Amino acid sequence: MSEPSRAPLSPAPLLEVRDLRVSLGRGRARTEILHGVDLSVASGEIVGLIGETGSGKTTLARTVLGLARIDSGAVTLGGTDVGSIPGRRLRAFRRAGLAQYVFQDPLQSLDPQLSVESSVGEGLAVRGGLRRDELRARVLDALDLVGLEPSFADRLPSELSGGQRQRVAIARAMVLEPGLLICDEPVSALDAASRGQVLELLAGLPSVRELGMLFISHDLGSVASITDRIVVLYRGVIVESGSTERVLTEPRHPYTRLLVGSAPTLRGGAADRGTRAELRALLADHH
Amino acid sequence: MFLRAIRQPLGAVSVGILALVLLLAILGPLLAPYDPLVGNAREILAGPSAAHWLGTDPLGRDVLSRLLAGSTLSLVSAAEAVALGLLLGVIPGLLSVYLGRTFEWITLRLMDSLITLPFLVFAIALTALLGNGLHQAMFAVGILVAPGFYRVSRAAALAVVNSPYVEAARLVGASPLWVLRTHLWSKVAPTVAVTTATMMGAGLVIVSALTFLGIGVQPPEPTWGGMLATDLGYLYQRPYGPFIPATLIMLTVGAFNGLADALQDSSRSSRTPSSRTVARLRKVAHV
Amino acid sequence: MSDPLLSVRDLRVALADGTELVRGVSFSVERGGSLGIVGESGSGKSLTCRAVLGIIPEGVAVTSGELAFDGVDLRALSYEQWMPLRGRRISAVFQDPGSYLNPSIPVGRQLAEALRASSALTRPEARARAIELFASLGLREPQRVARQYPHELSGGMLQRVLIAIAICADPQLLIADEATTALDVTVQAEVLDVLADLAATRELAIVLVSHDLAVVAQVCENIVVMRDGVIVESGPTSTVLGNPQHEYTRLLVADHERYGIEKYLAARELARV
Repeated sequence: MSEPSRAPLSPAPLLEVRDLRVSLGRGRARTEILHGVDLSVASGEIVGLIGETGSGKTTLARTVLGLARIDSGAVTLGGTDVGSIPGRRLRAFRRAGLAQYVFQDPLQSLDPQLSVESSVGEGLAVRGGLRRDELRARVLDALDLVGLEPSFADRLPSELSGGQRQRVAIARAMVLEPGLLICDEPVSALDAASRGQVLELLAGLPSVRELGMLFISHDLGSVASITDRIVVLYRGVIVESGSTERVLTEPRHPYTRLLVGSAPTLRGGAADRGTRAELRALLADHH
Repeated sequence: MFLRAIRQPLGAVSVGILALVLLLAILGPLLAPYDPLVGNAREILAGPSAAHWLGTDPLGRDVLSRLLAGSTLSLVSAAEAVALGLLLGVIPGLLSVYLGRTFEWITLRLMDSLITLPFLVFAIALTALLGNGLHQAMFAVGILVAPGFYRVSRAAALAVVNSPYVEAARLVGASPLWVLRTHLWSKVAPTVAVTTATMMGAGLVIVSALTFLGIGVQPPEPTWGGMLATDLGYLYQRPYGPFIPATLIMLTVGAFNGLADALQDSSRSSRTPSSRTVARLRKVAHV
Repeated sequence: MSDPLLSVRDLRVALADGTELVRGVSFSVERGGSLGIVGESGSGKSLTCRAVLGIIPEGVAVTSGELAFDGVDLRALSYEQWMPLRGRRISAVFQDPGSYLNPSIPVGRQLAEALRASSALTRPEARARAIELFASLGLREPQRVARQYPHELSGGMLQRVLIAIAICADPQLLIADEATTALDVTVQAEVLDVLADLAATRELAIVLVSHDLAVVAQVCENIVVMRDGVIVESGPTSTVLGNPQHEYTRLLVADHERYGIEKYLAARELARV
C-alpha cells in the first residue's frame, strides 16, 4: 500500500464519509450510534459539526481516526479508505500524520510529566529520522504558529493556563503537518478570554497551512464564528447541512430550529420560549 | 523522587539507618571480632564488656559477631522474597492492561486467591513440601507478596493507559512499547518503589518470625529471629538479651517503612502542581 | 411599597490574611424579581452567593456589610437558626448536579424525602407530589424518571431534579450558581425556560449567576456585572446590555457579539421584515 499523499487543493475532498454506520458496545448491549452519516471536508475549508451529548459526534470523530470499527459505509482520508487498513499498517498510516486531533480537555490531553517540547515533538520522535536539534526547531516552529514563545518549550503543563495548554495541543497536532485537523470541543473548557484567542488561532490556520478542519462542538457561538459550512448531527443522523449563514439564518429541520432558538442571545428569550416548547414537543413526538 | 525523599527528615533518617544496616550486612563477616560459630565455654552469658561489646550467648559465642552474620542472612532472604514478588506481580500487572480481557480475568482471579492465603502458614506449609530451607520459605513469601505489586502496577497502568495523552500518542503512531517507555513507566515506578520498601519491611518481619520458630535455618547458623528465641529462654540470666536482636529488627523494619512513607510523599508532591498553580487552573476551569 | 426581599449592602469577604475577595458589593432583589450576576472566575460572584446562603468555605469570612433577607439579618444567624431558612425560604442549585444527589437512592425518593422534611406529607402523598413536581418542570415520563438513579439520568434531567428539590418547599428566593454551565445548548435553554417559568408562576425571586451574559439575559430583569470583587455596572438588563457604560461590560458585550450567533440572528430578523 502506498503512503497516503498530502491532499492538494484539489476538488476531491480530503475527508469523505459515506453512509457510515458505527455501533458501540458488546454483545447484547451493542447499539448503533451512527445511522448512515454522510460528510465531507475539503482542504481549505472549516466544517462545523454541531452535535449535543448523545448525538454520536465523538464516535464519528473516533471513527475517522480509526479508533472505532466501521459496521458499514466508508471513511476516506486523502484517498485512502481508513476502514480497510489492516491493523499493523494503521500505525504507519498514523505516523504519516494525515489527520490529527485536538482533544477537548486541556487538563488531561498533555502528559503532566513531559515538558511542552516532549509532548509537541512526540509525533516527530515516533516517526524518527530527525536529529535532536532538527526536532527542536520543528517544535519551536509549531509553537510559533500557535503564538507561544520558545520559552514555553521547557515548561511543564502544570505551569500553563487552559488556553495555553490548548494551544500546545494544537501545536502538537500541527507539527506533523496534517491535511485534516479534527477539533473536538476545543474551547468548551476555556474561559471567555482564552476562548476568543484559540478560536481566532484555529480560524486562521487554513490560510497559513494547507489544511481542512472539522470543528465539532455543541456551542453554536464558536461554530458560527469560524466555520464555512455547518453539518448538524442529531441522534446519529445528519439532519441538516449547508453554509453557516444559511443554516443559522434559515434552519429547516425542527432540531436545527430548536438549536438556533436555544442559543442564548443578549436580547433575551421571551419571544422564543413558546416556539422552543413547540419544537421540543415536535421532536419528542418523533420518538 | 528518591533524592527528594532523602531531603525530608524521615527519609534521611530511614535511609541512614538502612545504609548502616546494609553496610553491616556486607562487611559484617569481615568486621566481626570473633567467629560467630565458635563459643568460648569460659564466657557463657557474659554481660557487655570491652572484649564482647554486646556480651555472649548461652554457648559463649560473641553476640555482636552473631548479629553481624545474621544481618546478611536476614536482609538477603527478605530481598529474595521481594524480588520474586516484584517480578511475579509487576509484569502481569502491566500486561493485564494490554493483553485483553481473558488474561486480565485470569490474573485478577489468581491474585485475588493469593491474597487470601496467610503468609506464615503458607510459608511453613511450603517448607514442609519443598524442604526446610529459608530460601524455600522466602519463595513462598515471594509468591504471596506478588498480588500487592500486581494491584499497584495495574492501577497505575490503568490510570495512564486510558488517558487522552496516551491516546494522542497512539494517534501519532506510537507503539505500545513507546507508550510504556515514555508515559507509563515514570508513573508506575514510584508506586512500585513505595511498595518495594514496604514489602522489604514486611519480608524482614516474616524472616524473623520464621527463624524465631526455627524454620528454615539450622543451628548453629546465626539469625536475628533465632537469637531472639534463644535469648527468651535465658531471660533470667540475661534480661536485656532479647532486646538486642529485637531492637535491630524493629529499627530496620521501621526504617523500611519510613523510607516507603518518604518515597510516597515525595512522589505525590512531584505529581501534584503547587497550590498556586492549582488556584490558577481552577480559575480557568470556572470553579 | 415593599422593601426588597434580599438586600446586600457593602458586602466584604476576605481571606484570613486580609486579602479581600469581595470588596463592597451592594445589590437588592425584589420579591418575585430576577437578578443576574455576571462575571469571570475570580470576580467574586460565587463567593457573594455563598455569603448570602451562609456557606462560605474555610479560611474565608465575611468581614463587613449587611445581608438582610425579608427583614432577617443573615450575618447574625447561628447554624441552628439557618435551618428553617435554607432550603425552605432560600434555596440554591449549583453547577454539577450529579454530585449533590445520593448515587444509591432513586431520585424520586430523594425528592420525596425533601418534601417530607419540609411539610407534613405522608409517604404516598410525598411520592405523588414528587411526580407532579417533575412533570411541572418538563420532565417527560415523570414516573419513570422518579424510579431512576442519578447515574442513569443526563445532566439536564439531573439539574431539573435538583431544581425540584430546591423549590419543593416553596421558597421565596432561588439562587442558581452556574447551574447551566455544563449543559448542552438545547438543554440549557430548557432549564432556563423552566427557571423563567417558575419566576413567573410562583412569585419566586431568582438570582442567576453566570459567566455568560446571554444566559443571564434570558431570564433576568436586572443585571449586575462583577469584576475583581466589585460591581462595575448594574441596572435593568436591557439598559445595561443595550447601552453598556463601563468598559468591562462593553468588552463582554463585544466579545459575545463576535463569538456568538447574534449577527446571524440580526440578519434573520432583517430578512423577515
